[in-house]
Amino acid sequence: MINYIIRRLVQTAITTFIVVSLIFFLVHLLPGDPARTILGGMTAQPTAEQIAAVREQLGLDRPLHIQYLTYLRDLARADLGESLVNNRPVLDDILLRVPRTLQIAVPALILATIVGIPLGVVAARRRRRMGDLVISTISVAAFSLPSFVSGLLLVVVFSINLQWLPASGWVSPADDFAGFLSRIILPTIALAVAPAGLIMRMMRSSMLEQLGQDYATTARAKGLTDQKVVYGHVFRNSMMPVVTSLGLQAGFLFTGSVIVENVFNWPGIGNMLLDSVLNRDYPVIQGMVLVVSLAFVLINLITDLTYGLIDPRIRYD
Amino acid sequence: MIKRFRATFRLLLKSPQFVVSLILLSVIGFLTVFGPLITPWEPWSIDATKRFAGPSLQHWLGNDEFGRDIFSNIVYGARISLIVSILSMTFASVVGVIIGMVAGYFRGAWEMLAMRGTDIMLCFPPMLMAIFLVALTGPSIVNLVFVIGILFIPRFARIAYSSTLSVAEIQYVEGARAIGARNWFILLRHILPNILAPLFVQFSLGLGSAILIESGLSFLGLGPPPPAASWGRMISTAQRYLSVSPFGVLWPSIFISATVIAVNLLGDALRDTLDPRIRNRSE
Repeated sequence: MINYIIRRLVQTAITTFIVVSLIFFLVHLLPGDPARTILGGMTAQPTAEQIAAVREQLGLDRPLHIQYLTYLRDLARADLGESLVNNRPVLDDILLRVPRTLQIAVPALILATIVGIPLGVVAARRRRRMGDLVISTISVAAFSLPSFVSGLLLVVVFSINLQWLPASGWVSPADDFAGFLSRIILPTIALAVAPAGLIMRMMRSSMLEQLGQDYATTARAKGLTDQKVVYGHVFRNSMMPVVTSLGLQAGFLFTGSVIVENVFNWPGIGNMLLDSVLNRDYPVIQGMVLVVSLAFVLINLITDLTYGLIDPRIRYD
Repeated sequence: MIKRFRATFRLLLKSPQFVVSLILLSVIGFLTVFGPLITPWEPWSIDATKRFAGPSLQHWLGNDEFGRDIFSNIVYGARISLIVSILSMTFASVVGVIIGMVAGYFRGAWEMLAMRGTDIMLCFPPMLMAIFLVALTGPSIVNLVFVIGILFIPRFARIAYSSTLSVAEIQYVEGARAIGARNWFILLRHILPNILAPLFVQFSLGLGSAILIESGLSFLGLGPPPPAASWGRMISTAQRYLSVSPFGVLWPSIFISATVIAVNLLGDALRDTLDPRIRNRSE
């Protein structure tokens, strides 16, 4: 196990370095001059001096390798630079907004699991009968529905027609806890739809696979009830791929949260990313992509380590 | 080959998912190709007297906040969504399959390079990378095709790689090599036809994701710029008038969802039919 952990840690360190470098070179080598795009939004025809001034402010006038080394050095000090729009440190803003995104992402993941797993089990046990057909159709529809569609449908029904819940906005749970709760319900549901469909489907196919295994047949042959075969033997094993798909689910939740935060005007990292792109705030864009992708490298590492812990076969590969 | 294709098609017709998806895709495909001939309205022509008009005989799905015909906009938006998703998946599958086959056939350094490369690309959530790359390169249709395509290269490469690994072990490949066939000939003639099935499945499921990413980007204001009609942007502008008229949001939502459901059902049906392991289990 120790060897496995060390090997994965070394791999992760290498991946991190490559991701960090890749982002730098994408920003600097892709066609298009950030200085020109920043100024393009403000004045019609930027002068050469204006462009030079912005390039100097961004450090773009120095040789590429020097810029790269400075970038690595700043990164090692957890310095992601400052926003061009409000001059605040990028990292501070990101850390301010991450919890707000988690406030809807974590409940959404829990909701998706609570709904997805039982429905997946039911579908697998009623294979090719009405229940399976209905659940499988719902699951395809769930992950085919764009999150802005599910979000807006919820707004139409629960905010505009029934007027039960507010359509948008965020309040700090410390200031107004009831208001906070009423505001996280709709975005959480909107965000949970796609992962719920996915979990349902994974649970169904993984359960079917386990039910077809020899040990399940043996258990049935020795006279166990269907109930006991499913919950005593098969359930645990079929949970494996679902539990370890955490990385995949997190990816879905991120994609969803960029859009859901936009629909519900929720001030999390999704909206921050979008604002920075629309404002062409390069330091913020670069910092956000960096932080989010490193978070995903970490999520993948944790997933793999958990997998190795649960399933001993993985360690000896 | 044609015989096998027919046999597969007959099997597919037994699958209810395939039939539903075939019907949906025929309707959507017909509207996309011939829609502009059916509707007399230009998607951008404004009529202030018809703001938020409901569905009528002239305007089947009603009019939006500028009195533009919603049906025309949906038909033209379908073209953009379908063109972007089909071209990006074509790009991703061609590049991904070449990478995967080379890695799986020649092994060694190629394998190492390709697999670590795809590992790293799979670290990024697709939407983050899509927004990032569009922010850097600008939101034209061509850029969208390449950006979405690049995001899907690793998936095709992974599938092509693992299928090539197992097919390359089979004796007829060894036989072909023994009689002196060139590598590219073996790859194209003996390996490629035998790894196509899982790639078709991925292509179809990928189309759904590509439509979701394209409409998501358009919804966020990062899609193809006007005057190109786009489903995502229609919804994004119409949501401001949601309390006045829900139709502007409703119609494009139905079309996007139906299209994505159709290609996902197609992918499922293809997988169930083309994968012999699943097929036998169901008999």
